[in-house]
Amino acid sequence: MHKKKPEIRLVLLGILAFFAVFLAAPLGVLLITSLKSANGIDFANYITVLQDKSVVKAIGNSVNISAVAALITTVLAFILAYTVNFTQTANSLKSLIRLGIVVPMLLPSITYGFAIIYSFGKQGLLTKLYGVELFQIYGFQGLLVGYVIYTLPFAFFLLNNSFSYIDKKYLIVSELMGDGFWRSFTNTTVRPLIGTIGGAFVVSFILSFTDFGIPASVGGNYNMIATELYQVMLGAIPDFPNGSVIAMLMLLPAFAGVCFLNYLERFNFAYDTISTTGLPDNKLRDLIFGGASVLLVIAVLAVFLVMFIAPFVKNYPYDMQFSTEFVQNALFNRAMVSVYENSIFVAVAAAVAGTIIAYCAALVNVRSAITKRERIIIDMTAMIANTVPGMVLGLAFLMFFNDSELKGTFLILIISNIVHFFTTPYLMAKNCLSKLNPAWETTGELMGDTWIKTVLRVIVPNSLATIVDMFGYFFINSMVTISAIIFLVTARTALVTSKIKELQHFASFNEIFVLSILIFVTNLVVRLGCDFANKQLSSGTNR
Amino acid sequence: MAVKPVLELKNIRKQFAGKVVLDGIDLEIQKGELVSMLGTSGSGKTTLLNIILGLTSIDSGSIFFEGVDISRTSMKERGFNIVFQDYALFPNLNAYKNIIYGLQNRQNWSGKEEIDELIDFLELREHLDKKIHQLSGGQKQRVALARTLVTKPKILLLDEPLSALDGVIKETIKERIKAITKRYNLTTIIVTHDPEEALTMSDKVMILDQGVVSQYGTPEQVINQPRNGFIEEFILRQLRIKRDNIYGLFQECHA
Amino acid sequence: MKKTKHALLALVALLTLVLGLTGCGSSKPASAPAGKSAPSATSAKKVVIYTNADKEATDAMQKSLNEAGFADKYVMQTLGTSELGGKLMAEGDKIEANLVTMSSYFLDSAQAKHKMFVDLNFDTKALGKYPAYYAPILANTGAIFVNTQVLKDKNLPMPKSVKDLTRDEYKGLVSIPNIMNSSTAWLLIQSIISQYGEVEGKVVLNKLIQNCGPHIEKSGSGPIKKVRAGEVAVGFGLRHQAVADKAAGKPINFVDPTEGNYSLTEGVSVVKKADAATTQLAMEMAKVIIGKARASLIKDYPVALYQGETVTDLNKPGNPKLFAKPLTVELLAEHQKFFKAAQ
Repeated sequence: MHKKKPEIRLVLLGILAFFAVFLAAPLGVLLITSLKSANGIDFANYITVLQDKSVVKAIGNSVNISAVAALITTVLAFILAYTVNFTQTANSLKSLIRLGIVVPMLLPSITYGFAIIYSFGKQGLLTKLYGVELFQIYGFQGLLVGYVIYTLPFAFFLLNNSFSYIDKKYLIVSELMGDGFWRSFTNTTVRPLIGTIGGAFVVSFILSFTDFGIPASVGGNYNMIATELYQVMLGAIPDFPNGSVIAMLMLLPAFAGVCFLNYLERFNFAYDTISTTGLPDNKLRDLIFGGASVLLVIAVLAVFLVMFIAPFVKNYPYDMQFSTEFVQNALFNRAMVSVYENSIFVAVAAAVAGTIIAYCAALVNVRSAITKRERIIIDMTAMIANTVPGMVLGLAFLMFFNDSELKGTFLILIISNIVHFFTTPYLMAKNCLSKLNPAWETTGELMGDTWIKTVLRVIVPNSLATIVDMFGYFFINSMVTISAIIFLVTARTALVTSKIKELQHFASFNEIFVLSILIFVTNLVVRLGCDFANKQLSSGTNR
Repeated sequence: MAVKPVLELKNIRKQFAGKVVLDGIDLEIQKGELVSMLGTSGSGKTTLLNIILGLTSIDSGSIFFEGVDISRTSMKERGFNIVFQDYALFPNLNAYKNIIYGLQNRQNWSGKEEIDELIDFLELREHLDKKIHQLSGGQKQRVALARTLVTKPKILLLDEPLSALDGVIKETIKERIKAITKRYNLTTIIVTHDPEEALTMSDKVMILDQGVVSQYGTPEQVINQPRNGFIEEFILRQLRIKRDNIYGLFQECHA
Repeated sequence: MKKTKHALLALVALLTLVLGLTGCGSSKPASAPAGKSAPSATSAKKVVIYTNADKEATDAMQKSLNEAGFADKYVMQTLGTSELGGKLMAEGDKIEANLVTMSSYFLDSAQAKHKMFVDLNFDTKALGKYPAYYAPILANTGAIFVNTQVLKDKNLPMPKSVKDLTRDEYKGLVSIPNIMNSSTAWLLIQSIISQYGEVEGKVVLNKLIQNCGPHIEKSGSGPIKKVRAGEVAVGFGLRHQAVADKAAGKPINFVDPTEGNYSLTEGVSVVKKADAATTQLAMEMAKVIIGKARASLIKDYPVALYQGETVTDLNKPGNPKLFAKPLTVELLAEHQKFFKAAQ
């Protein structure tokens, strides 16, 4: 604290400038556009939009489905997390659950809808297996299935993480005190998790409420706020005033949700120690939860099964002879390959630059002597970036950078992804860096290092595993997102997800599935690559 | 006439968020002396250590090194060095690379023979290729000491050097620290909360209580002429109980 | 000294990475992914083609362009007719595209409003008379088609007219395109308005929309896909698609409705741009599309447009009709209103 280091100030200023230009300013313009009418600043645009029956209906639909989906997701995620943590289900099954649930995260949400159509539609794979149509896929039910699949992994990982912080000793104590299953369950499991359970619900709600891919694919004529926003902006002549109002209306529930999440945090239990004692035996419990969870994961995977079958047969579902014609056509098609290259380029660039920015922000925040106010500004920025739905951010970018050189470039897509996915990697870095020995910088300085040199020689090498994970997070999410880029892509900068949206126009499911498989395989390789790299890193230090 | 002190603190004052942590601290240390700063948590001893190191600035007062005012001199330019309580070794580097870490910034700090001698003196030769987490507590401390000594510090600061060590090896480490200061004629300041540690290994002891100096003198002076009730009550009584317990233990064994 | 220099370099490297991205508007637009050569100032950039055409047509156009050696010199972006129409009307020559293929009435209206197209500089030898700023690439004809398998399974009669599709037995089994997004849908609306007038037509359309339920498609080729997949039994769309399906042995058949087969023409235009080299390249591509792609386009869209072209009898619509008024964007807007009112 002796002397503020100029290089830290520079990094701090750089980060603040970045978010001022690429978060605060676009959102400001969005807000002002929504409030600007012929008579100056007022709520005239809001009144116009809210008088439009179809918009109000769309908002109602979105709230409705998102809430139902969030409720179902929370219950299902709880069952999965409970099975993994609190039952003596075979470890191989637990691994199956943990791995299987990741699969949807490696795919764009727009693919889910098409997988649902080809699974549950009149000629769908699962419909064929069951012999009857299970439900009406277009509209409410199809959307519901899509949202549940989409949000389940997020809710599961949230709950799974909290479960691991529950001291299992209390289960033994409860058992010894003679509690029955329900009393033990509510006191030792539900009560300590109540904050996270609420959190899982809110996160699922926000994700569903702001998603564009699923309603774009399986919404039918069921209007949702995301598709409404898309139509207002691209349906015919872009309507900036009304578009900005709908974007603000989309932002509000998301913002309220994030505030509520912060409020819920106080309900989280903190145990002093986490002991890893064994669990009381209960065969019935294991059977019920284990069985339900395995079925659930298999059901989720089954929905995607069709994606890997349809493009490999001659004419699904009529002619099921194996054929690689579609795959070859897609893979040897210059246009397709170049779109795939674009996606990889954007994802890699967003991952590299995003990781650097998030890491620097965390570094400045937890490992340097900046003022408390500056610390709060960085944290607030991260929270706001987390709050803004991808479509809203994309629209704000479209408005703010409409007349700039950035319009229609890859750079704007990359930046949009960095800002949109900033928060999680930032928190990962913060968490990791705050655990490193606080005396390293001082030691390095006494050994003659500059600050930057200590960072590169000591801090970075000791947080490599986290950096790898941050990179993976940015990459995978940039590959699958459509909402953050749909307003910003152009023909020259088309990405795989926007191409899928375009192919939907022709209902070219085979190409859609081939592209989805490409994304899936790419993400799988990156994910496994990250895991492998981290394994190498940790075996290098024998930990 | 006394020899000119190598380090001199004059009327040091420091407050954090309105709370006075140190007030009116005066201190003189002679070249080659081993001085302990003894105090409970909250006494201000760690803050004083950071002030001497140059990590924390002072509100008023001054610090002189060899007669030069270094109150506003940066940590780096002071040329002191510290071994932290938890050593702050870099886990991505092995023991040897930790030891020579500073040399990559300034080759002229220590020569090859000096480093070899240091390694042998601290008996680290066989541990050089080990990763940090493979070292025992005592080995880690020796690596940290070696890493610091390579930079030829003008004053060596040790933050609770024994607290992270197993009881059995504490005494040998004490001897080693004493041996180092003698061998390199190194002015050394130790921060500790343990009266026994402070009084058995140092030339002089400074006892801090709630931000002011309670007493500063040789261990004999502290034992024989405690300046106030605090020292009598909290320090000497502890030591007497300890002494009686140990005496009792040995008499029983002899009986 | 050397060490400080190193440290400084590292610092600069890190900061440029961070700050490079904040260089915002003034910085150069991001270059294309590595491996794709960045265009120099004088040479032509990649031509952007915006099209509302269906897959068969885009495939044919791409094939002809690729064979003419343009494989890496263009990007093709497909948009819905209403989306592309909106862009043309709103953006004029600021549109990203250098080359546009689009329904002729939109080209006419966009040219009238913005004067945004350059005259084609080659002779097309078209059969009909067209303005200088576009040449027709294909014409579309509307018809009803059915999935014979589903009809049999559900025991449904073969429809003869659009009005037949409003009968209760087809409820939930009909698919039509949406005129808000698709020009194919206009063929349907034209036939309803011509045959029944606006008053009775509204009743027919309302019943039809109800029978469709969730199967009102944004894309003109949506209904045929749903009929092929067996999602619905009957659909309205482009006649030639059903003809081709039937010929390929799929359980599909087509019906020329008693209300008539209406047609729309799609044309290709070159957008007026300051970048002369790219515009010139776009012009060459337009020429290739007319000269080379027509041979396969006429197979999928069997309407003769140029001298020397012929089509089989099977592909001649049984009941061809022309809408009484000239087709314009304004008329489309009127008919869109009519559709909305019938919902």
